[in-house]
Amino acid sequence: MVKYSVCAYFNNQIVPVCFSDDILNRNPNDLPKKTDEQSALTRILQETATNVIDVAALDSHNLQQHDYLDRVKSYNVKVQQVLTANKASLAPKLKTCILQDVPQPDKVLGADLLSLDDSELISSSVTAALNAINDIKVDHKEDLVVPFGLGLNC
Amino acid sequence: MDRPNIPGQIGYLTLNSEGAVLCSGGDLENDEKTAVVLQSLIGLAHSRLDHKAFDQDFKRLSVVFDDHAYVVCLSNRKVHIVKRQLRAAE
Repeated sequence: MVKYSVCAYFNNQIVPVCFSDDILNRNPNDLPKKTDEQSALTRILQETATNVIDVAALDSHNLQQHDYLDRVKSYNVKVQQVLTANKASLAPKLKTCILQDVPQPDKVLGADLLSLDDSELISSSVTAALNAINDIKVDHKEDLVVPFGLGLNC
Repeated sequence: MDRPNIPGQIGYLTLNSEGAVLCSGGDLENDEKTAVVLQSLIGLAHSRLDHKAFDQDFKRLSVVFDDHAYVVCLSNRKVHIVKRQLRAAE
């Protein structure tokens, strides 16, 4: 069989337009082309199906109330596991915290507050300390800059 | 209110370990400003104190004003803040 091809002479380049095989195959029967088309269609359909979330189809799963509760429980367990595993990295702020973790916060929070006497004592001592700090003075007696060795040279 | 069992309580805040408000009520309802201030205060107190002078951690931080006080404590990795009214006699 003699193969021939139709070419177009364009811009000093020979560009093939179509080949003889294509023309020969196309004319006698359309069957192979049809299957090609169908397989392409099914491929498109499959790709679309994988890319699309079909909400109506999801509904058919129909989760029961206890299924939801079970899932909530298992998710919570998982979250707790992750939290305890990453405790150090998750709580960087609490690492530099002056407070210790106490088991019963209400007990600590509800305990008696500082008595008035104690807070007065603290205020007066802090005031006294502040006054003392403010009273610190440098008593200037000698020159800060003293020439060395000048006496020897002269 | 979620937690009415503390005497003189007029507001509360609960923060998670990252400083976000988990729940709040009373005077401190959604009071993120106070939350931030107190959160940074416990960090500041930590950095200012000489740790060699104290061989144990603290359980509670109190910020006492004339008529009210904020008490802060840490429990279960959450920061609990309660605003308490001081009685006039105190």
